Amino acid sequence: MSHSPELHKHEHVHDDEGAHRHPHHHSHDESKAHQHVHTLKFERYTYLVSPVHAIDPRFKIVAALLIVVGVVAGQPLRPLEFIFLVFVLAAITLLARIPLRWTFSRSLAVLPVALGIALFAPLGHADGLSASAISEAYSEYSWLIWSIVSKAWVSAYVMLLVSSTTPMPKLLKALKALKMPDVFVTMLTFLYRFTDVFVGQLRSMRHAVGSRAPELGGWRLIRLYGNLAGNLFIRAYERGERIYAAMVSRGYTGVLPTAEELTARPTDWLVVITAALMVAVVMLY
Amino acid sequence: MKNAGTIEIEGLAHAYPDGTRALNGVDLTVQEGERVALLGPNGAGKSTLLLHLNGVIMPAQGEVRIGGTVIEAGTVRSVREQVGLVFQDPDDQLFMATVYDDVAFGPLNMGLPSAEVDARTHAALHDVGLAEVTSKSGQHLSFGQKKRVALATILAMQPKILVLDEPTSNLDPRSKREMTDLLDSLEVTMLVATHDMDLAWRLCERAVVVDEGQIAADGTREDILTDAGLLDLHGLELPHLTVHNAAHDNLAGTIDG
Repeated sequence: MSHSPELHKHEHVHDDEGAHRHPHHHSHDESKAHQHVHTLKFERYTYLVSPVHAIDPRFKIVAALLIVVGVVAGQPLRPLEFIFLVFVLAAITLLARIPLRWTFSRSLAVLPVALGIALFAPLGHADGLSASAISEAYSEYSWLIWSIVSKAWVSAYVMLLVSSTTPMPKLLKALKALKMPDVFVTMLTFLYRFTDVFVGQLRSMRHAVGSRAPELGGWRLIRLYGNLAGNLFIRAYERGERIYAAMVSRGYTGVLPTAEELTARPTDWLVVITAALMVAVVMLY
Repeated sequence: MKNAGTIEIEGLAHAYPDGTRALNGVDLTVQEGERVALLGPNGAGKSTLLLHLNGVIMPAQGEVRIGGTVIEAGTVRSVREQVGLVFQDPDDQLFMATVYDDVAFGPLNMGLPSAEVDARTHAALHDVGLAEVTSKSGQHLSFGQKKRVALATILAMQPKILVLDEPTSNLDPRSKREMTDLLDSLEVTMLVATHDMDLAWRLCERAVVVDEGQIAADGTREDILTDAGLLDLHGLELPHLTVHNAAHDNLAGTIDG
C-alpha cells in the first residue's frame, strides 16, 4: 500500500462565517477527503482566512505583549490616546473578519476584576482611615480608577485578538518556541484537550441529579454541587495518573518533544515593529 | 536482541495500597509471534498484570523479562520501545493538542530524525484508516476514532510486542469488526486482555484465564474457548462465533448426511 500523505490547507467558504482555511490530510477514502474540524465555541474564528490570521503566532504574541506592556507601563491614557487605540483595535478586528460585537462582549469579562481593583485603588493614597481622608483621596485620585480600567480593557482586548485569530495548537507551539517553560505549555495543552472531557462528565452528573432529585433547590443543591466538584477533582486526579502512565509508556522523560517548526515571513517582523512604534507613539505623545 | 518478541513472567505478585492482593504468583511465557487472549472477570488482575509488562508498575515480587531482558530501572526505557501498551480509555492516551502530535509523540521521544517521525506518523494513521483526522484534536473525535488513534500512537513506535487492554470495549458492532480486522492484520506478538470472546476467538490461537490474581487456565483457543463449564466458572461465556459455527456445522451435517 503506497502512502501519499499530503497536508492541504484549502480555503473554502461557509455561508455564515466566511472563508475558512483548515489544515487536513487526504486519506485513501475520497469521501473523507475534506473533513475538517467543527470547533468548540470559543475557537470558532480561529480558522478564518485573513491577514491577521496569517501572521506567525510567535510574532503576534510578542507584538501583543509589547502593546500591553507599553500601555500599562506608560502614563494614564488621555482621551485622544484611548480613542486612537480603540480605533486601531477595531481596525485589526475588522481586518481579521471577526465580528466586533463578539470580541467586544468577551473583552468585557475583564471588567469585574479590573473594577474591583480600580475602585479600591485610591484608598492606598489616603492619609489614614477617617472619612475625610478617604474622600480626599478619592477626589484627588479618581483618575486612577479610569487609568486601571482602561488599561485593563485594552490589554484584555489585545490578548483576545491574538487568541481568537490563532488555532490553539499553533498558539501552544508558539509559546513553546518563545521559550515558555514546558510545565506551563503542558498545563495549557491539557487544559485545552481535557476541558471538554470534564464538561461532559459534569453534564452527565447534572443529568443524574436532575433524574434523581428534580425538586432539589437552595442550599441543599449548592452542597450537592460541592460533592460533584469533589468527585470531578478525584476523577481528574486519577486521570492524571493514567495519562502519566500513558506518557511514560511512550518514552516521556519530562521534556515535551517538538514536531513541526514555525517559519516566519518578513511581514511578521513588520508587525512587531509596527506594534512597537505604535506603543512608542502612545507613550511619548 | 535474541527472540525480541518474547514475554516471560515468573512468580509475579502485587498488592494494592490497601493490601488487597492483585496478583498472587503469576507465571506466563509468550513466544515471539504468538497471540494470546487474557481472559477473566472484572477485578481478576488483568490490567495490573498488563501494567507490569512495560515497567509502569515494577514487580513487588517476581520478575518480568522482555526478549530475555529483565525489566528494571536501567532497562525500562528500551523495554518501552519493544512493548507497546494500549490502554482501555483512549482519552488517557490522547493528550496532545492534535492527533498528529499524539501519534508523533512516541517516535519523537525515541529520538528519531524528524523525517522518520513524519513518515511513521503518517503511515500509522493510514494503517488505522484515519489519515483525514490528522489535524484534529482529541476532543473532536468520536469514541471509535479515538480508540483507533490511540492504537496508532503505539503502532508509530513499531513495537515487537503489542499489549492491549480491552481494545473493543464500548465500540459499536461495525467498529468492533474494524478494530478486530485491524489487529488481525498486524504481525507482532500480541497479548490482549478482553471480555470480547469473539475477538479472542478470531484473533488469538491461545487463551489464558486469570482469576483472583492467578492463572486459572492456559491452553489453545479450542481447549479454553469451547469449555463452557470452565468459562462459566470464571465469569465468562462462550464466544458467539463458536456457538454459531457449531450450530452451523451441525446443520450442514444434517443436510448433507
